[in-house]
Amino acid sequence: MGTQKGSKLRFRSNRDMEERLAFIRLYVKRLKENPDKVFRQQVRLVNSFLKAAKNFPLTKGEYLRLKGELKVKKKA
Amino acid sequence: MGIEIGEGKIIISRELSDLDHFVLDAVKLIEKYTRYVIVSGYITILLGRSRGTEDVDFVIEPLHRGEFEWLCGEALVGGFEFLNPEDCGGLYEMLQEKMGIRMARRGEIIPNAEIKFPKDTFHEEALKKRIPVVLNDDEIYISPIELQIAYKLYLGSDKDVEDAFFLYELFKKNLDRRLLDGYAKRLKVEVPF
Repeated sequence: MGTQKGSKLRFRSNRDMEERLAFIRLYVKRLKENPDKVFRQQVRLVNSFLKAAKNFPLTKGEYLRLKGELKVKKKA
Repeated sequence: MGIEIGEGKIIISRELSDLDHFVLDAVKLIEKYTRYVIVSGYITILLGRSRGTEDVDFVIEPLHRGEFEWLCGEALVGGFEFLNPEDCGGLYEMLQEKMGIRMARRGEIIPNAEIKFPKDTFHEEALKKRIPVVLNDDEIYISPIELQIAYKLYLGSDKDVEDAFFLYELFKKNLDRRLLDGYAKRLKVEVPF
């Protein structure tokens, strides 16, 4: 990253974060230089993600349970 | 097409995704009843990051029960449904208990809008200092970029750090560094870039 010289980033995961951030820097550069092309590809990717989500296998209740958000009804 | 960063606003001109259409429909409903701000992952997608998300986080200004029930009723007749099993009154109670409620297009689960009242001072600040993004002919309010970067670093997963760096790279010439460092200090995180 274009950061303090010699500083090492420390993240929780073992993935090569430096490499991923370098990719993001390159991606933003492309986005600034050629927004039409990058946005067009991005919209296709997002739409494709949502199309796949139409076959989401969980019910509403299962989804909320997975999220830890299914409210437990108080006993009277 | 492209992104312009102007005085206090961001202007984006581009083709809309299905996710953008969902968000704009949710915004049009919510803003009839209360102020809102979008926080978290959708902001980076709106601004061009290539990734998916299952939910879009809305922080809304607390409103009275009756107003919420109107909002809820309009959502139900307007093609939305809530994933939570509660009725409109129960959903309002959840909001008051600082829980999020999830609204999706009827019959769908993803994408959904997670709607909540402010949970902390950062949410309150995001609402107060929200910034407009002009997306073609529409307007969406998002959290200040400096706050978003610091908050993403605070959340700290790989995805969140990548989102923070994406925003930093995109806005680095326009960021208020003191503001960013101030938020980071309050959240007890270091800005590593």
